Amino acid sequence: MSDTLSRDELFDAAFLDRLRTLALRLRKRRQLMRRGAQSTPATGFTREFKDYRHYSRGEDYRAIDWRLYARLDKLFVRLYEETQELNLHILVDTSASMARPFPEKRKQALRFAVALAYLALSGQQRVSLYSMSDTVKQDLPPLRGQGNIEKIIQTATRLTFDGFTDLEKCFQDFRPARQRFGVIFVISDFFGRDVDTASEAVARAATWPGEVHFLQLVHPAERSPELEGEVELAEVETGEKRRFWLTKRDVQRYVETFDAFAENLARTCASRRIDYFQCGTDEPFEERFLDMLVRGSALTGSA
Amino acid sequence: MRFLNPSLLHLAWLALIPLALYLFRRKAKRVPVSTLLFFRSLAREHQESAWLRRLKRILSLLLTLAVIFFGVLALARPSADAGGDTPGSIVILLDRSASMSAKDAKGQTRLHEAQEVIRQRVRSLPEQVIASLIAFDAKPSVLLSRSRNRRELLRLLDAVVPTPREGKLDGALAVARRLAELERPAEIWHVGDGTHETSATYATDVKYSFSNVSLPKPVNVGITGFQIRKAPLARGRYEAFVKVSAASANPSTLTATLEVRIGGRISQLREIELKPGASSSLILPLEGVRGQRLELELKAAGDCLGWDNMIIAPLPELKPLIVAWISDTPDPFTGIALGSLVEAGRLDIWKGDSKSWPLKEKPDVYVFEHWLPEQWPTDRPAIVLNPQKSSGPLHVRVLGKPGLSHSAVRLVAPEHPVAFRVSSSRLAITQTCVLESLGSLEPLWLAAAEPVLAAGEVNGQRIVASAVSPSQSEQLALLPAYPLLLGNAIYWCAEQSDALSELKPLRPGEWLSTTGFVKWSDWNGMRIGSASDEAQGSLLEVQRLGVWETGDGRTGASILASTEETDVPKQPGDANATASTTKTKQTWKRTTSNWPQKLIWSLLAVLLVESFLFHRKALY
Repeated sequence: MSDTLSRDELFDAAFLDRLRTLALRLRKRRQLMRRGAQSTPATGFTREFKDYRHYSRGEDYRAIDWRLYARLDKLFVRLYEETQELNLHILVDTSASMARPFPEKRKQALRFAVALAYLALSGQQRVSLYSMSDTVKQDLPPLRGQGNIEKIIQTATRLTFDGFTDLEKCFQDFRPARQRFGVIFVISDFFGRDVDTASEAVARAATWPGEVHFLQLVHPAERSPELEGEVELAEVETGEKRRFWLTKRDVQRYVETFDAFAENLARTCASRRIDYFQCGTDEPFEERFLDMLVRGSALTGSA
Repeated sequence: MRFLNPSLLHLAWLALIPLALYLFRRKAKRVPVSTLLFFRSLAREHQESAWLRRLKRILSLLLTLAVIFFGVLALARPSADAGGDTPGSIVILLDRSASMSAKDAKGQTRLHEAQEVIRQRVRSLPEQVIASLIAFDAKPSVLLSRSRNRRELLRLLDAVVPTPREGKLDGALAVARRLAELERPAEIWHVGDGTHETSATYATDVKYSFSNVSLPKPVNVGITGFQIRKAPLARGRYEAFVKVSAASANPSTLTATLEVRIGGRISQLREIELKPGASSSLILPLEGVRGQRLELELKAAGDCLGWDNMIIAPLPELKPLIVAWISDTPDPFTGIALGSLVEAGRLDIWKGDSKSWPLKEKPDVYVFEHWLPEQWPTDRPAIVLNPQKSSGPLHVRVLGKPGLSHSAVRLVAPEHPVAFRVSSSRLAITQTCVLESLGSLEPLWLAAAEPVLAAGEVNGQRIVASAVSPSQSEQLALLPAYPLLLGNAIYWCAEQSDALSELKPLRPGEWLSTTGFVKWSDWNGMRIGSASDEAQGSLLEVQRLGVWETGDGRTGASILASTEETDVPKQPGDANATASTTKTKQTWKRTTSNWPQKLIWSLLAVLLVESFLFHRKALY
């Protein structure tokens, strides 16, 4: 199995068409809501008037509204709207567990990443792509403009899925600057060193500046493995091997443990105001992608 | 140690199966997984090193092989040589004759007592001893031949029931000895009643022991003889000859009541006093019609055996015997003699000469006088009076007058023809002829010291030959007895004919010639009931007491009437047999082998260990 995917494997022409349609629809909605998600509480130097404020010593004279001084005999400064660029940070888990033994997870993760990037680029937003395994690495500097989608696709197809996941370290290392305030999507299976690792990592993600979305990709066989009898299980990330004698009852207990893990992660995310979305690799991508956007995000202008 | 079922040792090849499975075992499936995070929480994890796993596999194999080993050994039933005086085989000889149905005060039969004695002895018998079971009455039946299957032995033992027949030990003992000699040392256990030796040694290593289960104080009277006949010169009247006997073991003189019932109604009551071992004969006049049932019931206080207390018989129809008298020159004296029998209603005479031969219908008896047919009739008995030529089995040489003189005849006229010197297959007759027969002829009637009638069977046909010619013997002393002489010959010849067979009761064990079902009013020793038997082929072995009726309307009686069975024996005072039994039991107890039991316990232990190690402790 090759470590990278071809462009055609990730996207076909029909899918890109649908993405464009989707992007247009979202842009229209953004225009209707005008200030939308891009407006910020900060004041700037745009031409859009926002408010008045009493003059304080040391402020720029140019901002004083002299006409108002003439009428009221008091110094006021004019405040203008400041519009910031919205940044989309896409963190893709590139640990080995995302590609082996189920390559469908990698395909699904990259599709989500590229689709999100396309959506953001079409909205004139800046897109950054990160890969994370034992540490987080920025694979693409912030890009803007729809023409950069090809660059993102190429970068995505070249991503190497290997190593092990260190969620805590990755989440600690990833800290976008305040000027890069925006939307952060983390696409991962969230399988850490321990069952509680993911929940603890959520606490760090909550401090990130911006809106955070967790997208968990799960293969059906990971949730409900079809194993019975004596098996030697080999973890793809660490190479660790363990022998088990599995019965149907054991498999049932496994499913219960897995569901508890996912539920705990969802609950922790909710308590930290982080959006959590789980998607199976066997589920149709487009429907699930739309489902995710419908849930609301600054990216779609519906937050 | 030896194996009782060595043929099952070949099952040891089953050990090859786990060996093959071990050698060609499937490796554990190696499955790559994204994470072991959730599997680690499962308890049944193999947390062991490779060498430990291998060791456990070998342990599992060894335990499985041990299970198979112990299982096969248990099936092969190993047995240690018991040593001591334990026999190699035993033959159980169980008396099931009529007297074994004698009941004690608790209502328990002797057979039941015998079964209990055998059961106790069999339980203490070492497993490797081969056992045979023979039940006998008039003849022995081998119910189980040389088997170690104790369960089957006990099942067959329990199935034995007393039969209303006499017990004949000799035949059964001969069979038992033949069986015992097949596996020595052997013992023959005879359990029954009677007076037999308590122990004996027949041949090398074949011992005999007798366990007496007779009643300690039996009381019994029974009907030991019965015959019914039509009363002479009377219509609708019969005479019954009854013999009543008391057991010699009776404690004192006993008063018994004989109740006679005809058609269910009491017609006579007789009280009979019988000393121990004594008999009394009675002739009972009876009035009734054919088909009515005659019941004779003997009642006595404390009677222990019921089967000999009742006789049930139908009143028979007396058909006259049909006698074909063929003669060209009939002797008037023969005519007078036959005529007297006709008047008594006992005979029906078909008279004919040589021209009427062969007859269209079959008589019961042929009487040929001064003539013999060319083709000897073999289908009926024949009486030949003064034959003039050879025919069939009789070879005749006619003597010319005055015939063969015989000085030993103590008669007035020397020419009087009398038979003399009857010897096997040769009959010499004075005056008229010399007869030779292919079969054996014996004197049937003697006049003075010489025989006048010779009788015998030739190829199953009864033949009576006589040279008495009454017309030439006016002064012969036996002349007035000539009708009696001739009638006697006719009845002896026709004894087995249908006309007389109804008069003769059957006994259990005899064969009844019939087809289909036979209905019974049977006496079981306590009451009269109904039953039916089906004849196999054209014969039915009589096994009941009472009245039988075949599908074609023939009826008859089956009676016990046995002096031997009525004479119920008494338990001897000493208890040697019982002591012997106890001693044997004790000896065997020490030497009883329980190898199979030990093996089965071992097998279960191994299974438990395996189960504990590989399930409870989850060692894989």
